[in-house]
Amino acid sequence: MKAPVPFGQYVPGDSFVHRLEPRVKMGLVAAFMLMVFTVEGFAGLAVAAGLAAIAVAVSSVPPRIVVRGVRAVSIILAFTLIAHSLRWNPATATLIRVGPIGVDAQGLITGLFFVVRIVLLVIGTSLLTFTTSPVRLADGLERLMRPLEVVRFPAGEVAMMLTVALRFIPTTAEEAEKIIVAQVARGARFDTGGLIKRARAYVPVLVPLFVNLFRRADELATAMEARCYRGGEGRTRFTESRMTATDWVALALGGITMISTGVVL
Amino acid sequence: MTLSLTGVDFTYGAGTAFATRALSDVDITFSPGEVVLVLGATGSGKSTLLRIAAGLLVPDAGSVTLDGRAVRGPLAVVRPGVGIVFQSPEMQLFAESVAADVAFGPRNQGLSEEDAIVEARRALDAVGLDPEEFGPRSPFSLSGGEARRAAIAGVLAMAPGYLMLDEPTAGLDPSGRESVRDIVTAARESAGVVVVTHDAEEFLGHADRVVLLSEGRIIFDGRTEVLVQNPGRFTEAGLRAPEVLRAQMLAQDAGVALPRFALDPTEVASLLAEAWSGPR
Ligand SMILES: Nc1ncnc2c1ncn2[C@@H]1O[C@H](COP(=O)(O)OP(=O)(O)O)[C@@H](O)[C@H]1O
Ligand SMILES: [Mg+2]
Repeated sequence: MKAPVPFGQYVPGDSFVHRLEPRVKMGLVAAFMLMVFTVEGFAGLAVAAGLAAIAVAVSSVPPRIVVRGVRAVSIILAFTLIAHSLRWNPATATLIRVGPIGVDAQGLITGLFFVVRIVLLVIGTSLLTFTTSPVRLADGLERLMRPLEVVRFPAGEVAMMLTVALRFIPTTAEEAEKIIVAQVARGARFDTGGLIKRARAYVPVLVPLFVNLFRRADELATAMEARCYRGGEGRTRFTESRMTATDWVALALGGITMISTGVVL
Repeated sequence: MTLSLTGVDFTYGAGTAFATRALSDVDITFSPGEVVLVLGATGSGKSTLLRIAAGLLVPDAGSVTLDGRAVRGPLAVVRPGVGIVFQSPEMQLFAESVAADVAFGPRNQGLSEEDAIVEARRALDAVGLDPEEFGPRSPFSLSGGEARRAAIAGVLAMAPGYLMLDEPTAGLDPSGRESVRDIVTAARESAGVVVVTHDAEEFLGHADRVVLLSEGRIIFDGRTEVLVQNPGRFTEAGLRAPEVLRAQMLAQDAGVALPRFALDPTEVASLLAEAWSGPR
């Protein structure tokens, strides 16, 4: 049993990236995603990768942790590569032919392109959560959604919901691990049998996990009411964050670089 | 059926920035029919020790042997193996009925449906839950104390040669605590019992032997009577000695010449009375 650093968990620090306004980081991540989606060749991806590498270096988040986040999607990556490069009809395969299966060179390149794209998306988004505490993240989201209050969108409530959800992810992961160990100690096996049998093996984990989750949600709601939580209206906040000159410069420079890369390459 | 840990080291997250040394050079042997109390402050490595002894964690160094054979993998699946009751075990209840939940372990051990049900009934009886009344109920409708007992029954139903319990009375009311204590002391008839807790008070009077853990190391392993005569060892382990012993230590500091320390209040009273009426 390894101690999991759940994908996207906050890594406390005091780097330049940590100190940026959450809204700026969200804007930059959005621009980054846009760039990664719009570039059409490896040159564009290379620029994106370079920017991501700089951001990771400046953020002081250990690269090991970033890699671990990518490893979490390794199955998706492998599947992407295989789906693009494998050919059932060997006649169309240009690289390798083994019996009825072949590997296509062009497909392999396309597959690699998508793999790199996914890796960059994962790194970009996880860097946001690695360097922004859940409270600041929720606060930033609320501020971004604030204009929607004009159309009666409950920005404060949604932000609170997201904060609570983020807060519960590590707890729930830990609890799931505890329950799995407890059921293994009662002889449960998760690694044998076909797909259906394996899925069924998780019933003894999922049932108590959800029961506990609902119970805890109920308790939390009661506790919040008992402490006079009253939705978004007139709420004071712990962290007062505002845009500094650095934030504006980072937003402008980063945004321009990424959007122009996306357009040109 | 002797269970031995020899030279066991364990580190969580070894090789990462989060590495935490939990156990260092732990040697310990458990024997059937004995109640062993493992005491230590929070974070001293008690839960880790139990997980390793039950074959759920593999030590980084050292070995775990059952009757001289090296242990690999969970020891629950064999009969008689090592059953482990985790902290807040009611968290593991999942089935539609208490009876089905308790039968989950024996079924996983390969018992037939009928045999598993027989074992479940026996185990429910052993924890004082009437199988007729509680068997058909949903585990989620039980009170805290009942759920705890049902979860313990789920482990007893696997007929363990060793029963290991992690903080088994935590979070229960006094009557719940008492019934868990009764279950644990009754279990010694059929199994070696290992109880892990940070509360020196709770099980001391029921244990044959006590092991004190401090920062992942064993600093005491001996008969309960020996520890009772040396209450300073509790402080060394970062624990408070039981109140009854503290009172005797204070009396001794105040000049009362006690011939020895005792746990039983009646015995303490007569020791104090003797010391008092002695040379004045
Ligand atoms: N899953 C885990 N990942 C990382 N560290 C852990 C984990 N479980 C326990 N530890 C650490 O190992 C040490 C011993 O923990 P544990 O055996 O749970 O102690 P105890 O049960 O005596 O409170 C503590 O420092 C604890 O923080
Ligand atoms: Mg513990």
